[in-house]
Amino acid sequence: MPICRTITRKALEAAAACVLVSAAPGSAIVDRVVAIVGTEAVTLSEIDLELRLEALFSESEPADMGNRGEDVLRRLIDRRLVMQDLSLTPFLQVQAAEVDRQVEQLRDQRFLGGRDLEAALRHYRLTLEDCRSFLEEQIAFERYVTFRFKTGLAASRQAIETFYRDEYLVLQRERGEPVAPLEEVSDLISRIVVERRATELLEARLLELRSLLRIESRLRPAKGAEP
Amino acid sequence: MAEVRFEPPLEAGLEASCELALKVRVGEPLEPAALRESIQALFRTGRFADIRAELEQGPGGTRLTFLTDPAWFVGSVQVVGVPRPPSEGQLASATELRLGELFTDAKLEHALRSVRSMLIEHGYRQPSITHQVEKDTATLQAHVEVRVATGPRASIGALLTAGPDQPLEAAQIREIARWPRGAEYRTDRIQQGIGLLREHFQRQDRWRSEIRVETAEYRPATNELTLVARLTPGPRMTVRAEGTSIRGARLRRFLPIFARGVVDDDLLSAGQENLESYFQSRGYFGATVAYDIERQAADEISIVYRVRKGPRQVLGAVEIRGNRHFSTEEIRERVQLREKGSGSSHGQFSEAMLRRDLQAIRNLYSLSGYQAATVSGQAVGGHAGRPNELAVRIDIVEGSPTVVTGLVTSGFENFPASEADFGFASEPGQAFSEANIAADRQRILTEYFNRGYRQVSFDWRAEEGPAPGEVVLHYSVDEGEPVRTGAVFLSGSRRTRETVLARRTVLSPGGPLSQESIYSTQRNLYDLGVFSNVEVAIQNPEGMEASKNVLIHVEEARRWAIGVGGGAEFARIGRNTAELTNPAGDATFSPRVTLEMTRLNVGGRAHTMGFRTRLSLLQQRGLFTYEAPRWFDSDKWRMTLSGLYDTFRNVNTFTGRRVEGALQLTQQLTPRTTALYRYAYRRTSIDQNTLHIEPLLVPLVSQPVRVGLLSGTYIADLRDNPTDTTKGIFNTVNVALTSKYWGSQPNFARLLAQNSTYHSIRPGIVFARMVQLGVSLPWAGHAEEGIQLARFAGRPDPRIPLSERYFGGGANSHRGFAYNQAGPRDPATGFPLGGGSQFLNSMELRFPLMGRDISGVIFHDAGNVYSRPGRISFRSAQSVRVNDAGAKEFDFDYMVHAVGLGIRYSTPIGPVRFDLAFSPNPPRFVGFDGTRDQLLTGKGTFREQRIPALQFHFSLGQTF
Repeated sequence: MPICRTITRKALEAAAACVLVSAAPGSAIVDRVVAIVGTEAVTLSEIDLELRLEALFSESEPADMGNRGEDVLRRLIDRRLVMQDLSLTPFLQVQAAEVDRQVEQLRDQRFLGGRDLEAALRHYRLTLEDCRSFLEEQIAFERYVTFRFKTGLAASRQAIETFYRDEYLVLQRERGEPVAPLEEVSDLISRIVVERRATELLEARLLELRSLLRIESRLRPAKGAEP
Repeated sequence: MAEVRFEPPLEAGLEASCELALKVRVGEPLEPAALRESIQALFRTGRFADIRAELEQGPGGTRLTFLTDPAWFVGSVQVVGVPRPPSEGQLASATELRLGELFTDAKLEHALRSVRSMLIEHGYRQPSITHQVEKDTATLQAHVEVRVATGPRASIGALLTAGPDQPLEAAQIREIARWPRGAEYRTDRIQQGIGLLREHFQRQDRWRSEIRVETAEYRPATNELTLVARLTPGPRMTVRAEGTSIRGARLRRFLPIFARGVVDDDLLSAGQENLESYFQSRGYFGATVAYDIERQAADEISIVYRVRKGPRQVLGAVEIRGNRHFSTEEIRERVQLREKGSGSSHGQFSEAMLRRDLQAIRNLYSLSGYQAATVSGQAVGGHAGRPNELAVRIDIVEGSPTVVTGLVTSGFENFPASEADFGFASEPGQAFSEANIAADRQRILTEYFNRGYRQVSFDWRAEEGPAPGEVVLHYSVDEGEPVRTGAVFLSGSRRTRETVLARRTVLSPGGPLSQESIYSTQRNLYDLGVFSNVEVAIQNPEGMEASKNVLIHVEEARRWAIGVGGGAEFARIGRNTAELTNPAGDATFSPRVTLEMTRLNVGGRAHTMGFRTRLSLLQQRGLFTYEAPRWFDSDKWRMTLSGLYDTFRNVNTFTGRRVEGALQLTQQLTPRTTALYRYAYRRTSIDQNTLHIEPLLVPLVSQPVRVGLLSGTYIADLRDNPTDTTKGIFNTVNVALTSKYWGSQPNFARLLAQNSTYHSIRPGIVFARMVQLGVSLPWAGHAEEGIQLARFAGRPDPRIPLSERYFGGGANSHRGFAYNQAGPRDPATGFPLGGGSQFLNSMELRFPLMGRDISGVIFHDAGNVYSRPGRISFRSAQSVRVNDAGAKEFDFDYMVHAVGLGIRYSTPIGPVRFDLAFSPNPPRFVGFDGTRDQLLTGKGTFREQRIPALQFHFSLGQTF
């Protein structure tokens, strides 16, 4: 078998971006397990990938792992829990055509520095496949929330009125903006109330899933290793 | 990359799974996504607690190393040092550490917390808990031992009450609940106390009391717990029924609120249903019951059950019409409606019952492919011209069945099978039935599971066929990946030999991981009889790997078992040995004491050694046995070695002593047939001072005798239940041979055969019959005693020793006789002599008498013990003649009959029975009034006697 004499650029960049644990001289730890969700592992490279995807869609530079690593890991764990829960309902799986449509919409967008999609992907060291996987998970996540928590959920008249009185009016006055009558904004308020309630239900479900499965975080390395 | 390796190197069994998991390849560029997926796939195998990927640039190129920490799995879990309660088993369960599952520090911490919580719950407030984890690198098992030093259990200290208007003071609560200060705090004591408090309120007709007891404060200095009790007695409640005369205790039996001590809607409804069922069963088919809760006062409510009985009726007939596919009997089996006479004088009917029965019949047809079948029914009055008599007519229109015309299978790839191999219930030509499809699904999944395909899934759909009423079924299977058995690890055995365990293990490394093999292994190990617990588990059950190790953990039972028992016999047995009067026996009570000692797992071979003694007025016995199952390394063979010392007086005629050694091989030919091969050597002696026979015969008969017996027995047991049979057949044949060539003094052959059949006539009514034939055929030696004796009556062949003759009569034999009283009798004393053959025919009609536990029997026994095989006779009259001296001489070779009644009471170990038999032709004989000395000296008188016509028997188990 031919010997490969060079490490690929991507592997080097991955090595540079990842946390380095003390290793033998001339060697580097390029990836490792940083969290366990049930029987699945979350790797350090996933956090790095998520930071770069986050930067792509927020049109910013990737955040530092030290600052944002824990938050991103928590998000990845939640997403993993949702995907495991979702696997029990195969009829909610995302089709390839749906992802294609999302990718086409991205191609019409401009990203940080006016770059098109391909240039932006190069800038953030991402592949189209990374992007597709991310979009697929996003679609699946939305579908899960809609099916599990929003179906049949409706805002009551009382909830709409309470929101209108306690939040909308207060916010509009603080901003100095005109106040619309309740009938004009009740649809919007209803969507907000439903969204909030679905989020509460989602968080409760995530708490429940966390208590049922083995969740372990190892983002902070063992004592004596480099951060 | 030049190289991909693992550090530490992979075990042989893990290489295949890891090879499949890797997405990175030697000779290809390293892609971060591929590396990430590889780590995730490796982690999913469940074999690694941690994985790090290290990249190293060396002279040979780039090397990728996966640095791994192995995952550990739970092995044995023991908690020691705890006095009950709780038991060590309960504490081990509380740890939730299950054999084979992943072992982590978090799980261990949770386990220790659970142990502490349970100990605190049981009053151990200051337990000291240490633990030790022993990791076995060969099996990757972590064996956990938790050592507990509990200290003294806390005691009950102060008792406080909480809440306003508490009905009882603390001192009263203590007294009622039996919680004295200083008593040990135990959860069972607290629960019992709560129960007593609840009963206290129930006696005041307060059935909704709420009682809460909590521990408030723990005082380490005095090791006392302060309890806080909060009592809410609830309102006083009375219950009455209107529209019926049922009251008081009788009413309470129908209402579960009294039995459960709780009042809620479910229990009130249950009481309503109970009353309705009761009245409906008494013929008030339209009875309805409703209940109301009435508030009488602030602290008092009344529950009233209002009964509307309606007219009393009888269900005269249930007619079923229109059925062709199912017979009327098959449909009746699913119907709860009962006409009068079938166990109830009014029959059983209600509208609800009729609706349920119609639905049951519809379901029957639907499951058999008759989806379009209609079933209707109604009750019509005035049956047979009687106004209060109902008839139920059930009309069935079956329609045409939906038939499967084709079965298309897909996905059966690695386990190719045609419909014929599986034997599908839904074959072309069969009725379309979801029950058949469910059965096929079960069969398919079971076959795949047993071949290691643990991820297999099954789906089906039905397509309309070319013609109406036809469907084509499609079965599709997604096989998934097969899982093989890795290594098999045995643990927990200290004394049992590994070879013994290995032989019982059906699982083989490399073979499919079969559920059936797992169950069989567990069953085989339990069948050894030396383990109190056998756990078989898969190591790393959640991991995704191509092969999995199987763990077998055993707990050996205590090897010594000692049992003490007692019993008694009450029958016509006999009295002291000096008296010769009443040779037919007197009613005697004989208590019995038994002592058993058993040693299991002798030599670690799962052999059993036992010693049993039995002491009673009739018998003193000591029996030693050594049993070796799986003789010849086969499940079908068992070897038993035994030694016996026995003194017996179960034949009124003599007291004997026997010393015997025997070797027996048992062969299980089929699950229902057994063969026994036996060699026994025994020496029997008779105490001549106890021999109640003609004095001239005493020297001959009282000689000690050595018998070497080779025998074979064939047993075919086709009964449904050996202790209480309702149908089946039971056959045994025993052939024995004694000869000087194997150490015997007498030479004879013996045959004993029995055939029993059982027939269920109606539910609960069984006709049972049995015929038994035994013959002994001696050869060599003299066929007569050689002294002058009465010649009229047949005499047993003297070549067969007294102790080897047939004796019959008693609870498990001919019930027209007392125990061992059948057959030839001594012409001088009238005591039984035994015979050279026996014949018995018994018939019984067994029927229910009262409830489920009491049954009755009518029986007829006919037969006898005969002097010699050629003397078997069916003649019912006893021959008698007067000899030259004017004395009567009786012949005993005739058939004695007995009819009788019996009662049986069912117990978990078989029915207890009492039989009363009457014989119209019991034998007469000449007996002697006097002592042995008087017989010897020619004093005393001879008197004609008769076996009592009435005999009673008390025993355990059916007669046959």
